[in-house]
Amino acid sequence: MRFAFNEEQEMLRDAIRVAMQREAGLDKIRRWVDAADLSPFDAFAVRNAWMGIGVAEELGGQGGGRVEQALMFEELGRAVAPSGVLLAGAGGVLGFAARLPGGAEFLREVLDGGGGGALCVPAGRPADQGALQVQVAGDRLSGVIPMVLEAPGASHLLLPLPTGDGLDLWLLPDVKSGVDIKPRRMIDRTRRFGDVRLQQAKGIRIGSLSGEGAREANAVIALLVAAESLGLARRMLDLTVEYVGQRVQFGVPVASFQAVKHAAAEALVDIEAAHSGVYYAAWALQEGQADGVLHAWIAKAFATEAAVRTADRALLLHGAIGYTWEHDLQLFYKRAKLNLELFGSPRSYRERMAEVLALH
Amino acid sequence: MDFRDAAEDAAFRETVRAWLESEVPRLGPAPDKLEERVEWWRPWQRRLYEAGYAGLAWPREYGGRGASVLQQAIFYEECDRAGAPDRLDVIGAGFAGPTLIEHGTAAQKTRFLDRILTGEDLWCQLFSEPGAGSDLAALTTRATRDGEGWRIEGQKVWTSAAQVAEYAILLARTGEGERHRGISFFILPMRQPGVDVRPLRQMLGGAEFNEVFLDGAHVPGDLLVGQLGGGWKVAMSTLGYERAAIATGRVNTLRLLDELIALVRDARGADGLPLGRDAFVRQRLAELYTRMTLQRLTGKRILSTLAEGGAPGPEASTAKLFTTPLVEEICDFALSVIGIEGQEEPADTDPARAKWLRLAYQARGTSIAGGTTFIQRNILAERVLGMPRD
Repeated sequence: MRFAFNEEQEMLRDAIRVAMQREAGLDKIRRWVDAADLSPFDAFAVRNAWMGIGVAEELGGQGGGRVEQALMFEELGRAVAPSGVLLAGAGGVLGFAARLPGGAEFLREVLDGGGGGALCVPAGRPADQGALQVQVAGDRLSGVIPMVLEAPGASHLLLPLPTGDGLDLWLLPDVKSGVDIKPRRMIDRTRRFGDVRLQQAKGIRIGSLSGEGAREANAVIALLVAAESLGLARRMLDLTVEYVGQRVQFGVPVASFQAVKHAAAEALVDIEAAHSGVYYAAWALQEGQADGVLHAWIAKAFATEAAVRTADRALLLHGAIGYTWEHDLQLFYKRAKLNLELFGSPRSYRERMAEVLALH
Repeated sequence: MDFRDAAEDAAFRETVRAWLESEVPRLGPAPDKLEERVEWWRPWQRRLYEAGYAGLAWPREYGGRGASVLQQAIFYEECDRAGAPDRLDVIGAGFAGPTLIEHGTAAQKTRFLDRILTGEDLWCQLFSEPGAGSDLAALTTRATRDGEGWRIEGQKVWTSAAQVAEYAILLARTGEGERHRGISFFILPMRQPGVDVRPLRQMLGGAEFNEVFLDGAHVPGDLLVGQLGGGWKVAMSTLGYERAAIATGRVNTLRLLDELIALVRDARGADGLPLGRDAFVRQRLAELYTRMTLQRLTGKRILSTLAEGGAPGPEASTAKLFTTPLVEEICDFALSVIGIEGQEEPADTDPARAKWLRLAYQARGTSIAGGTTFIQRNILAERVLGMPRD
């Protein structure tokens, strides 16, 4: 039994951290947000081939598995990166398509094309529920899917439709014909969402997933959101410890006040527990362990709530400055709140756990 | 990252499981009173010793097995699974013994260590005093030269198992130096005039810890451990072993959660409907289940670091702060499911109910023992996060 990263994993983490600091620091993220154009980050992520981290090399990816993907998302969270394109692409489109026979071909095309796809499901629910209220007539699809992550700007959509137990996967290769995408404005401006309206849009049914396959695919997305929240929480605690160490009141740094220290210590307790959950889930999903999906739910429910608790502690400990637009904390704070709801609230995953615990 | 047992650990697990399967069912239920439980436990400890499972992580030359920390953890896991008795020798085998292995003389090792593993001697720890708890260096118990040995005067408190212990590890002041200097570490024979053990009744009425009055108690000259005046260093090793024993210890939250789930499955609300259909109950149980899972995974992280010879990182410092409220909340939730009958005198009520009540009260003790929650948070903030002292 070994619960530690290996050398390559640590190198990967360091490489992503350094690349983010150098090319996608907070100043740049703010500029992209102000211009309402996140495409420079998308291009940067593609240039670094981050879409392929966790995808086997023979499929055109960078190799590695869920642990590597989780490490990447923890780092993206630490940097509050506009990582929606990676979540929708690597976690969503690739994660779902990889489970199909013939999915390898699809993967290669997506990776060669630089990503840019979106998983066409309402982003407030677990993705294995698929898109509801879509009518199918032959190869034509009609209906509305609200709040789709990264729909604005997507080159193609992967649409999972519920069948009896599983999901049919439809590819909408052309978002210009029969597809109308209306952007939604979020308080986290580093994320793009949109409502997708399909009117006799042409789709290709590329295969179907069993209920179990759908739950496994969703578990990967849940894991990645959890890993990102872990990174957000770590950075917010770092920012806070640094700030309270400098801020002087009553002639001493406020970090010397016991109440301040206790709030910071409790955040660390949350963060270390989240770390244990995220990386066990990543390993278990990677290795196809029977408890992988359950642990992804656990990680998602706990880590996103831990990040929100950390965000609120950080805000309080920063005093009024933390509440301003000018301070970077707001970027992390809003993302933590968004991730709580993204692809299934803690409540929805706890209800699933209660099912597993057979509480009737 | 790999959570599977290595081949030799998997083989060890199989062997242990088979052994426990044949041994555990022969034991009857544990008596409630500590004095009776000790006598019930001794034959079990003897069997552990004979089978080579006492002092798992102790070196072979001192009667242990020289097992890795992972194998020790596997052994405890399997004990939990098999419903084996709780350990009564935590102080002796868990931290007094290892301290003697590290700092004791050859004669002390020969005399004491084997009897810890066979269960012949139980030990207690005379560290805390009315004026020196978390601030241990404030202790005032004094040891003065008395012929070849020492004469001890002072008062200790919150001493678990003092009423059944043969020996104590004792900290006493032997010099006038600064706080941390002038403290020496002794072995004190408990059965002698001058050692007066007075049980302290807890809120629930039972007495598991004690005050110990030392009024002219005698420590023979050969029972000083380490250097005269060098007791602080020895005590720090003991506290290290104590924390490790707590971190890898036996509050089995998995078993607690299983029992809680069974309790909820069988329970009905005031409206007569199964409680397991109540959305609030489902959410709360799933939340406790989540934290139980993470607590166990963090335990694995700590073990993994120890197994590779590293010093545990922040995760070890946070483990106690994560675990203590979890155990309190699991027990409180169980009591809320039971309802008002959960508040009946433990002696008068169903043993299964009484267990939740006892555990709920004990858990409050855990948040105080080994450094209160407040002290632990200060330590975490200062030593891990690097925040300044106040």
